[in-house]
Amino acid sequence: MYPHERSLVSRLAEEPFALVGVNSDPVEKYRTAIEREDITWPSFWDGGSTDGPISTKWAVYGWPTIYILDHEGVIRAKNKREEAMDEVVDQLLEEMRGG
Amino acid sequence: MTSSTDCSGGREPISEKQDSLPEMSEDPDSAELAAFRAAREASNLEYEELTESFVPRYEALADEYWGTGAGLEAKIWAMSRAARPVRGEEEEEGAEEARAAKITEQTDAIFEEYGQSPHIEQLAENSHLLNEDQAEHYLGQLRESSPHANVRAAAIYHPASRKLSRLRFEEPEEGTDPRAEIDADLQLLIDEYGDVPKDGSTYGALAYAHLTAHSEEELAIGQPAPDIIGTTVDGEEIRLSDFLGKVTVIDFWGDW
Repeated sequence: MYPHERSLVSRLAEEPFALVGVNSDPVEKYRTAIEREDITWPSFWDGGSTDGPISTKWAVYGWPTIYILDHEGVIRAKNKREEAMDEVVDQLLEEMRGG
Repeated sequence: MTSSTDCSGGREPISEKQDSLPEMSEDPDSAELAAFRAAREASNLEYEELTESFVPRYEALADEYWGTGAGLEAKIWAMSRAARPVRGEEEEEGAEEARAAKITEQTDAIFEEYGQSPHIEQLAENSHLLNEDQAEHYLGQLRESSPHANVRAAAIYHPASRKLSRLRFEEPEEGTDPRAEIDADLQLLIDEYGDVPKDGSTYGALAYAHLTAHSEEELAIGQPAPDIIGTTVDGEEIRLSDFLGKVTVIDFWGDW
């Protein structure tokens, strides 16, 4: 997942696109991952466990869980990964440009 | 033992005893303990195999560190293996009862040593090891009479949280309203245990998140995503709404 996310973020660096994480790791583990995997995108830190308040509020029971929002903040897809994620994101960017 | 009946929700000191315990990762003797954890995390696929070979070693560590938080942690790992059937093996008749009896015996031993200790919060966290009757008995006891706010809060929180996640997937029994009781417990956590720490959060914040959790309808495709207000690991505030105007992927993730 990291390589795909890294390439998505770098490919769309100049586009109106954001990848935002909600991370469930203990602090040290999270910091290690950021360094090791060269993670440049922001994450909410959810208190160090999968029981965290954000995951709880969003009723997340499996990881990773993915939501894709359009530029107006509307949920447009869930749990699309790798190429399927790229496809949805590209389509939403296209839609945004097309107005 | 200092006893506290403070229910103000203030941050009760999690006992001097706990603070003075050796932190396992800094204790040279416990490198093995850390290795177990790493090995277990490294390979969920071989979990059965790993736990099989580690149970006797967990037991030995529990004996060696009995009375400390680490000793209880090791004991609970060992119990977690005993608490469920061996995968792929036909169960003999009475096996479930035998397992439950063993858990009762071990939990009694834990109570004898840790009943008044703040460390027994760990048992509440792992209450999935207990069957319904056991959970009611042991956690009820902690909830009523532990001198430590962290233990009482855990004994209220974990069963409520577990019941809630079950409700997401199962219809409640007809004519029952489990939500009312759960919500009362969550409210109690907010009112009386709001500031008691739980991992990097608090029991109050977690109870509030459960009480106000988004419904499936609210998180459906086509709905505006609810805002998330939180912080980065460095404590900077961020909001999901900061990213309005951009196509945004939200990724709930962990490095495991």
